[in-house]
Amino acid sequence: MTVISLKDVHKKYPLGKTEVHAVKGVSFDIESGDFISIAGPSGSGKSTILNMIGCIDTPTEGIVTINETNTIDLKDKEITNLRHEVLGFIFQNFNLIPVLNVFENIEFPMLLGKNPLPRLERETWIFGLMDEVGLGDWKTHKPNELSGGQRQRVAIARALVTKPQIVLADEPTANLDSETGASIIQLMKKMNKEYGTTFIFSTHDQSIVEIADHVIQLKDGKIIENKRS
Amino acid sequence: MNISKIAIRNITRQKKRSFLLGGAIAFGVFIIITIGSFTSGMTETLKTNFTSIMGGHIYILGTETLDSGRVVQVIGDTADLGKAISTIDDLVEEYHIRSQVGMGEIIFGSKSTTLQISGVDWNKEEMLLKTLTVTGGSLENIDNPGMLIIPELIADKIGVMAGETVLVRMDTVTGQKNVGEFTVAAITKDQDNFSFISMAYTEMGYLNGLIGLGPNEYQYLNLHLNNIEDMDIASERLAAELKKTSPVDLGKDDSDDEKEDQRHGFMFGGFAPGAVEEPWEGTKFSITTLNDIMEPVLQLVNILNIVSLSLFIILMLITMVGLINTFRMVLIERTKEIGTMRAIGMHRGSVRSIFLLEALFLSLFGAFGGIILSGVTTIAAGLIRFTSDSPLGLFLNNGKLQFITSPSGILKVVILLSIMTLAAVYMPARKAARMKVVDALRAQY
Ligand SMILES: Nc1ncnc2c1ncn2[C@@H]1O[C@H](COP(=O)(O)OP(=O)(O)O)[C@@H](O)[C@H]1O
Ligand SMILES: [Mg+2]
Repeated sequence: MTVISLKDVHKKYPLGKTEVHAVKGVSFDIESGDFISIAGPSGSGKSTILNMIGCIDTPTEGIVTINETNTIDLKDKEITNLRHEVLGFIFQNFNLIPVLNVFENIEFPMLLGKNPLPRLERETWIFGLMDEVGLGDWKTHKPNELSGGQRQRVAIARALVTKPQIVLADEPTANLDSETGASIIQLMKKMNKEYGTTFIFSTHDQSIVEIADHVIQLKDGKIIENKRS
Repeated sequence: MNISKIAIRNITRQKKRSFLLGGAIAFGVFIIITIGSFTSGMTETLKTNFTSIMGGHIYILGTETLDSGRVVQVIGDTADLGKAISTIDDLVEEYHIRSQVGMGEIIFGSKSTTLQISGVDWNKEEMLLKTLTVTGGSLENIDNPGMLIIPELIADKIGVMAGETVLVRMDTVTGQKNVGEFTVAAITKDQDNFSFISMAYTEMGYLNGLIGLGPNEYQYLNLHLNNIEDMDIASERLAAELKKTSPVDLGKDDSDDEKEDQRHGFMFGGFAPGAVEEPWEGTKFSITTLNDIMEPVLQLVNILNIVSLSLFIILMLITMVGLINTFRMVLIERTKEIGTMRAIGMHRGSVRSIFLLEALFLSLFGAFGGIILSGVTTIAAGLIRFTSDSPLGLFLNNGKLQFITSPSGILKVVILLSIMTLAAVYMPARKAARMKVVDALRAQY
């Protein structure tokens, strides 16, 4: 089943009097349950594409559909709900909420919804997730008391807590050493298998690309390879 | 719930900054609530003190023109007055009839001092008797002519003891000098409220003889009402009734200076006989109420309250400028965080709410601090006992300052502050809510 589809997507950024053509006519489909890597050197347009998939940016031209919905037609409220219900986000800089502890950070997206689970069920689910990402003993720690790898594990748990269909991770390993980075990708892969969540991660590190089922190689805003194994 | 948790925790992120802003708000709230408590306490004290010294809430003074053209203070024809008063009987708790020596001189041996003497009908003075605490002699024979009750302060000044005889020099109603002999029946503790005015009491008949009034005449009739709120209604009804038979002056619609003087003279016992005025038949009544007497005080209190409110608003406006700047800074400091929360699925309204709540909580914490500080200050200041001859005398209740902090006053201040706070932070909050998610996420912080 196709969950995401890009059709001839362009993105131009205004830059002074000229503009930067960051994405130049990109089309691809993403199948549910895949573990996808968007790879390419810095400046090749990875972030731009992920942002458009994540509905936090809009294409200048072309169509981005999620579950057959054209995201361009949606109002801010609907887009926010879509992000909340269908998508999960993992960032390069972890982006945890500094005033919330580990448990609260993971819980946070759940409380944004209209009908959050009852407290007990919520806690059971979150504690389970914390154990799975290996942070069972760090419940009450604040983000600034954690290492980079641990923070990214919190972020993974946070991205998964609402059981989204798709998790987007823009260079999740870029701020980690290669060993920790590899373990984060492994963790994401494990979650992908366990929950059937579609993962899309971008990287400029060719060594971690292999683990993906589907690799989209970018260069200068264009796809140079689109390979699904 | 989650949003208020974040808002509250955000306050603690920059402790020093929050502390300064909260402190400024606390100071403003402290000022306005303390001044408010002081002025309403003072008003209440003054009301109580005046009620006590004047013997009631409504004061009816009689004046008559003699054949010689001289005006004297006396209520001669009591029948009309009695009839009029009977129409407001339901509102009145006690009637006090009094004659008065405004500026007397009490002499004992070689010592003397000034005092005021009220001639009273002891059968009608239950309230007064309750407030008198005897420290020497007794109240047993005070009904007898010439028995005088004096405050301790006077007794100490001239060194007189209960049972001893004193002379009092005074003016009669027609302005002649006279001297009377009195026996000190009792010495009373300085009256709680009005120790600075030395009021002595004696049986009315004897005093009347000395100041030139008939045995059944009196100068004032003071009404102590069941309910102080009825003051204006009662005085209006009484005036309307009295007007049917006699000329009546009302305390409140007296506007010309002469009458103004007369009223103030009346207040402090220094009526000037012989004021130039058209003569009239029988007794002219002037009706004054506690409210009339309190009017200048209330005006002063109003001015004080307006000044403190203005001060509060100015202080808060300055603080609000600080608050706006702080939240502009917050907006920059937390751009990325806002982007993250929005990406994860937080709606614009919630981002705005976090900002607004954060500012509101900060203000409320500040206000709470100010209220506590004001409470501590007023309680501490209320414990100070001033000496009985303190110039603050009129404002003292049992020798202490009284503070009345009204919950509704606090509520008003808190609501005003909250509105100002929300208005101040609204723009930064709106800006935060409207940021483009992608731009916010790309930000440095
Ligand atoms: N907000 C922006 N304004 C102007 N140019 C931008 C903006 N974002 C990205 N670009 C440009 O678009 C191109 C692609 O950027 P990006 O998608 O961030 O690449 P990657 O994530 O692969 O490094 C780059 O040339 C970059 O400079
Ligand atoms: Mg990038």
